Amino acid sequence: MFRKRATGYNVGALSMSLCFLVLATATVAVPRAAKQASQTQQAANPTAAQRALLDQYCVTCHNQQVRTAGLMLDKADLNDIPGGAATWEKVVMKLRAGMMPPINRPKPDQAAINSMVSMLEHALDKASTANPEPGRASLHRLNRTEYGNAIRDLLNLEVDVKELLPPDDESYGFDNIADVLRVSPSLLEQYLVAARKISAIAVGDPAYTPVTTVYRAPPDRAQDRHIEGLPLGTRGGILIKENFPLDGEYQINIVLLRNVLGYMKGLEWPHQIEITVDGERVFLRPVGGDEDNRDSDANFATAADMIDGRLRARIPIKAGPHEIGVAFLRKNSSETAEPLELHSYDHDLQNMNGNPQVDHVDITGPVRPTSSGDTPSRRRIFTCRPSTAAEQAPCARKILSTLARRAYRGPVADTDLNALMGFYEAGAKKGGFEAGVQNALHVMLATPKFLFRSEPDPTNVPKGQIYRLGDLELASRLSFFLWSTIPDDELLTLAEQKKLRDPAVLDAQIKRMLADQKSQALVQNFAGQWLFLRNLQSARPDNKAFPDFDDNLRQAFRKETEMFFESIIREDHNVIDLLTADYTFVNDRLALHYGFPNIYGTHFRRVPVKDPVRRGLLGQGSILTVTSYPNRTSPVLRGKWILENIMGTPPPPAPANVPPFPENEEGAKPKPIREILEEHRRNPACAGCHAIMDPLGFSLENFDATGEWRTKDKSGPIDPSGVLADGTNVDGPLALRRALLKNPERFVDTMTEKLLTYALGRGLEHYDMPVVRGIVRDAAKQDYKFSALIFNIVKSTPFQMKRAQ
Amino acid sequence: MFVTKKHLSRRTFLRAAGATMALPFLDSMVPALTAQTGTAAAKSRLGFVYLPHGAIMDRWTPKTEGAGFEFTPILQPLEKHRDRLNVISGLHHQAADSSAVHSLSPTTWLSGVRPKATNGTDAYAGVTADQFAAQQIGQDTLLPSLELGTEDHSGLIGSCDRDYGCIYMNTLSWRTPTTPLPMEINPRKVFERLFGRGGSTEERIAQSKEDRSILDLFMKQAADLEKKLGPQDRNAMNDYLESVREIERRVQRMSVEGATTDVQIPSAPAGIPYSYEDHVKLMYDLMLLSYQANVTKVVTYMLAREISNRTYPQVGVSDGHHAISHHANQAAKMDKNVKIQTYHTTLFSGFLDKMAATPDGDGSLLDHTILLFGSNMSNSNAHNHFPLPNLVIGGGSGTLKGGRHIKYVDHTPMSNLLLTVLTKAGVKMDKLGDSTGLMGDL
Repeated sequence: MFRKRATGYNVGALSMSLCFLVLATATVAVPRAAKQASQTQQAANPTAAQRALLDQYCVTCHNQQVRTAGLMLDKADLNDIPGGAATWEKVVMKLRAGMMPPINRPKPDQAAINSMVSMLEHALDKASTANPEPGRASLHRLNRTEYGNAIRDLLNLEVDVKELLPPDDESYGFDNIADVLRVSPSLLEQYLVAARKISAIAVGDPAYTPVTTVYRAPPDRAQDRHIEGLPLGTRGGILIKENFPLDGEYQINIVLLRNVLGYMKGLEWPHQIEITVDGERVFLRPVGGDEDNRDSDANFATAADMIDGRLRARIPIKAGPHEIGVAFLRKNSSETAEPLELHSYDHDLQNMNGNPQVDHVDITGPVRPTSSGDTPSRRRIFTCRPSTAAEQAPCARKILSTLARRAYRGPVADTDLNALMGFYEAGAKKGGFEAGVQNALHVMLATPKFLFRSEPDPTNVPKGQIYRLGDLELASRLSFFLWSTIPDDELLTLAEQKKLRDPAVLDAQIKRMLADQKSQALVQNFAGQWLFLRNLQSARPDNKAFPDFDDNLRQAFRKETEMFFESIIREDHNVIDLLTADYTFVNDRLALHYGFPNIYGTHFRRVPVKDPVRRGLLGQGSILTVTSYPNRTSPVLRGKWILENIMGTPPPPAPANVPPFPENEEGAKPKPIREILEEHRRNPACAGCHAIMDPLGFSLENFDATGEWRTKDKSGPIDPSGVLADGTNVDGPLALRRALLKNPERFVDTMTEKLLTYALGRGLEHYDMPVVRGIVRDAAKQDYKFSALIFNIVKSTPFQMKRAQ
Repeated sequence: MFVTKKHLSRRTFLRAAGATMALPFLDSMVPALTAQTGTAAAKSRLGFVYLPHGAIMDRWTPKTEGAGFEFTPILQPLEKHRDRLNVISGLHHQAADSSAVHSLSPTTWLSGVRPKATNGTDAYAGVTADQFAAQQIGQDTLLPSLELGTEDHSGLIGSCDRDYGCIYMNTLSWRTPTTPLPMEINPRKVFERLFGRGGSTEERIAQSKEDRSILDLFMKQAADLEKKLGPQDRNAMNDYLESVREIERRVQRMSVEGATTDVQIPSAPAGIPYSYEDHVKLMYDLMLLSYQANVTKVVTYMLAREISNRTYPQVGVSDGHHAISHHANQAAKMDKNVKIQTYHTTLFSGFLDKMAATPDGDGSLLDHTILLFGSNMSNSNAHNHFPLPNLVIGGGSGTLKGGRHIKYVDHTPMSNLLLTVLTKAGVKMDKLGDSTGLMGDL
């Protein structure tokens, strides 16, 4: 967000706290101008009236002497609003958010504020229409996710890109910001290695070096019940989705969980464990029972090794993607002492009883490979088959030009194709036709043409001039925005035919792309980062405070919010439904956590949310967990999250040398978190921001650090009451939601800013704000439908235009 | 265990059995090694190991100065390495002073230069000490430097400071003012960077020849692209070209030397271990191995990221590290910080054990290494940068005495220590960051 920039463009609540300090230590006379402004003058000259308003309510802190938040409104010229656009956009933001003037300071009536805002916005928007500024679009390296998706779409091959490339740096809340997607030698080296591995798997290199891959069951996953995706009638285990490079045999070894002392767990009773390939059982072995139990009693280490030794299978598998399942057969209750608790997990592994569990599975291969087989990636790559030596080179040329067009996202220049053919020849000389194609593919997947999205300025546009992007550039922008990947054939063809800029064609393409499964990328990458869902992977609630939390719940949290967000896209809801919808998605584990009755089975389904406090994002376990500490809730983190992601007014960083944050002394009677924060707020340096953040967070205090509803905690009954920055009283999630929805366009505004940041791959600047307002205004006419935001972003100046460098 | 008796050049990649073994993988390796003779140990290796969130200083800093000081609770696990260790007190890193401590601490620890305030768009930071070393003493090894970490920051969105973005928090290492180096967290990928994906020497040389011709093409394509781009994009393309050149240098080295080494290389580790302790130890093992096989001389290692809310139940701390680091001067909370810090000195001491037991030339690896271990924050509750907790360990090939607690004048620039360490390692520099000179007593 432009407001996050540090370069003097930073109006935060810090301004308020500093202002409080100033007021506490100095007497600042209210400028006379304010008093002189009479009703008649106001009617006669609207600018004078607004000037008087500023002088009366704002200039006390925001003047050239005090310079609160670097904002000097005493000299800002209301007669040339476009000339001070950067300043006035800050004013608009704070006034719209109801955050200025601060609590406890005199405030004009709302009508006066509204009129000031609309006057400023009108002037700013008019200037922006007259002189549009698209901003700068930089050279964009494909980030890790985009690289993986591009491989999927180019080669029909799913790769675990996390194993190949490092995570990308985040900026403005997203990891697709062009300017921070840097290149270093180690990164380029990793792209080269990734390209080598991927081309070998995709083609089915007969000389593929056997590798061992280890798949671990998350250590905090409960394995006492069925796991989604594994065969019904099983419990626990692990589902592995893997690409097998060649037809051949693969060694699959199962290793079961030991407790801290080295005892294999749960050998007391007999169990059976199976391996399935695409749902079909290929291996079944007994584990546990009298004999194993006796052996384990005699020598637990050798017994455990012996049992693992029994769980080794050499299985013929065809090349291509397969699902390997490893799971225990579920027994009925009379056969077993399986725990009656639904979700017990022995976190510190002290116990040796219970059920045996899978610790990890490793797969090694190919052993004795027979052929490259018939895989989706080979079918995609080998669009022709040479039957004579003379046909080889032309066929390779056809294959490579087809792939390169997709990979490079446009028609392939002869020089580029010839370069690839050179690598084909070199490879073919050593290993034949397929080896040649593989060699050229290896190069293609690491070239700058593939790795960078570049938009060179056309030669006929003079420096500094604004121009509309070409069809091919637009196709790429669209595809990376909605799909996080390269354009598909249809989009590319339209762009090549120069039809994409036709509004009707563009509309149809956006519709098609949103309806396509690939728009899931907006859930994974946009929502996953905007809402912090990706942080669930590192959320580790303390197992003493939250013994019920396990990986199953973590995954359920993630899936709920993902499915919920996806339903907003697919059903094209009003985006405000994100906060209010009366439905959600749960499985048995999550339903139990929320107290929803009568939900059975691990699959997710849509259910009505009867209890209004659970409705919308603010009632979902995912959000409530990622805004908590491992062992307690944090009203501050939750408040900050709401300010940043729902209200669009992030607080500034805490000032340097913050005074110590008083918390509960261990052993002493715990003080309520409210009391602690109130103490904290007594410090004026902290009060400004915390007075805004904390009440937002407190209204959600009835949700514990894993989102479970509670009415009391260790220190006593929960008190969710508070007063928001604009003076609204709140006393829980319902009142919070009402308060947030008083100005629903504020939420839409925030979401639009986030979407536009993500769409452009750059932080927003003040000149983008009229664009944001325009998008929101137009979307309002269409009931704030999700698609309306997307359509309007794609049609906006910064998405469609560029300034020649 | 993981020791294969094969020479690297004949090593087969990833034996099935090896990959399933428990970690860490060097535990039984050290005794199996034979003393090296010849080439190695000409210049000291350098290592920079970073701990976030400072230290409880009165349980870090020894009471007395000079030799014979009494080890404090946090440093206690390192007492067995007393002869090789110096506690350095009185240091201050002014470059980190700001409200954005968590972002600035990692990036300034080795540079002493305040970076540009930005969310990343035009990030500009000081080149770090490890990279100056990489330029001067790292050019005759396969990798000029190696950067290691343990935390996947893709699961830590929203934790960065908005005035100084994540780009500053995610790394200790800046190759140029605009090129931060990513800290690799996956042991398997580190291993492959160090020792490749296997195959015979001949195959590897053939591969590197292929890579050279690929790089030639990239050079050409990138140069073509660069011509068509505007000035700002040209900078980004420049980083790319620089990277290509650097890899070309490596590939060339590989072709020349065939990447042979006398060191016996264990099989590759299987990926990121679930246990944090295993992960930390494994990265230390890889650090040692990279020195020993002379793949690199310069390593940085971030034990955990700033604002990490990792819990340490293994030592009885179930609070998130960052949350508990704001300890409010309460005894119970400070104790928990001491536990976390002592845990880390314990693991570090284990690494030193192996370094000291690994023969290298006429002594041990530890004799021929200089390690800086510490944090760029002092009191995590106050978010300040004086006095900093830092240790200098190792023999530095005869340039470094141990066994002392050296207290410098209060607010001596930390950059002086960096400059001194570099100088002892044979890196020629007059000034680094805000340094004012060398530290005479060290």
